[in-house]
Amino acid sequence: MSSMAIYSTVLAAYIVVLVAMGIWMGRRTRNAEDFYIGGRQVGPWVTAFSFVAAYFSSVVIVGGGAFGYRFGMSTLWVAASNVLIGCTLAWIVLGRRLWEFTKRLDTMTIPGFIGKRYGSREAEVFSAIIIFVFMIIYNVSVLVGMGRIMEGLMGIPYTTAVIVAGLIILIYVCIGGYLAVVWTSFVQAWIMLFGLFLLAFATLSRVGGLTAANIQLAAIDPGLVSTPGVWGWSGLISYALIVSLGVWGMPQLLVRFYSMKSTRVLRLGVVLATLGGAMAILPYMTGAISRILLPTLENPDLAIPKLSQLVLNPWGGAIFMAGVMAAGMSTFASVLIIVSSAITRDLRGNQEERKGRKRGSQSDRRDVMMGRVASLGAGLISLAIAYRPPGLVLVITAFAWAVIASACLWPVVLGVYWKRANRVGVFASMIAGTVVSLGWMIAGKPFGIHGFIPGVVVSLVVLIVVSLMTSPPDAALISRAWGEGEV
Amino acid sequence: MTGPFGFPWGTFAAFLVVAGTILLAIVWAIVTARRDDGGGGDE
Repeated sequence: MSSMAIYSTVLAAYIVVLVAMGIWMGRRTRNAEDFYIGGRQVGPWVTAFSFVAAYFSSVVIVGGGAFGYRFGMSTLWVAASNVLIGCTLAWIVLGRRLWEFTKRLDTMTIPGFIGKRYGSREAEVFSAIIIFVFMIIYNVSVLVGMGRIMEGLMGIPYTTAVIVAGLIILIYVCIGGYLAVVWTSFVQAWIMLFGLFLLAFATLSRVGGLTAANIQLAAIDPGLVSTPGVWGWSGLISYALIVSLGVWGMPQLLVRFYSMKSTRVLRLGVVLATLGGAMAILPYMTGAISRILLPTLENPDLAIPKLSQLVLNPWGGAIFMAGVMAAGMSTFASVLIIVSSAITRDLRGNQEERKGRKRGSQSDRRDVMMGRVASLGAGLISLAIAYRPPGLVLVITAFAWAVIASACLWPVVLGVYWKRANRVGVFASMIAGTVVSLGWMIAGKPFGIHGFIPGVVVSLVVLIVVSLMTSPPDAALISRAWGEGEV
Repeated sequence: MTGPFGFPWGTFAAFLVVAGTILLAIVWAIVTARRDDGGGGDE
């Protein structure tokens, strides 16, 4: 059996499973709450592993490998911050509170939560616009990453790869909604984990083990095994923070917390998400070791694809490729459902919900249809841009995550912890965070610091100062958000 | 000074942070379960 035939067989089997899951979950999607948050009925295993799959996209796996190749073993600290801040602390600090607050406020989106917690329609619309624009750009980067990998590993044209991968995701998201996203992400997380372990094991075997790898890397440059090594502290810390603390403001990950069936899910979920998140070590470590086997790569982004071709047999390579595809597809699907909700729930406004309509009504079924149409539209826009990505889009993808996190992180965190945070403060904070993070990146990252850092610092300061300088929030609004008896 | 597997200790500490984080998650889950079961929980 030729390599191409093996790759095609594995890919075809994988696609059939995904589409079947989408159709199956479509039968369980009856109203808007089912379509956007799975009817708040998701258990710990699916919540935890779909969180991990949405967190680690193909860009992180291939890009993480590239960082490992360029900067060596100090990048293991990025993985450590992914696990500690991006997974475990996010679950502990935000999980229970977001679940409780969104339930009390009867909302199923982050812009909806911000709007109702602060009594601010302008903040709701602003966050929905930021999410709509920058999530689509983020999704373009995920699609481009998947297309390049399929092109590199299978030799199929980039445009074909992008269209095939994009359309398959669109099918199962449009049919199955959030339940299809989390269940396919659950499966994809395991494929991703298996593929990464396979590549790490084969790579370590090839270089004679971890100790031998470190000795060989130190012989090339001692900075490739030390910390901060060849990277330096400012680059290492700012990158580690953006890909870990940034999670706290990312709607496609936060939604996992309020789609849980109860806060009891958090107990097992936090342990599972931590164990799954620990796999972040693998792409960085494997990328660092690839420097020994592929010493003359001009483009570090090719480190992981080239390494998989070098150390894995065709079946192993095909499974690894499925793992990388899984990482990209789960992230793309998760983002798609968030963009859809931003359009249909937040930008359009929930006039009928405000009138107190009952779930399962004709209007609710219409909402599901609108969600499907919006998902399709957002996906097709992403596909169209990714088909021939303009240079500007590729530049913006580098900081799409930073802008969303700068705008949403503190409004979410302080929204569930600080009763004094008010509507004026949150709106000023979102604008300041967005402008500063964007401006910093456009200015060419002064001092080598990523725009996320000044963005979140300014956003925090503005939220606190402006809230304290203006009137406290309405007592009834706070009472509802915190639950009776807590004020 | 070199630590386990030929890593400098400054780099190997990243593995210790990951291990400590797994421990933190387990301890938090146990403490939360005891508190919820004692106080009625959220269901």
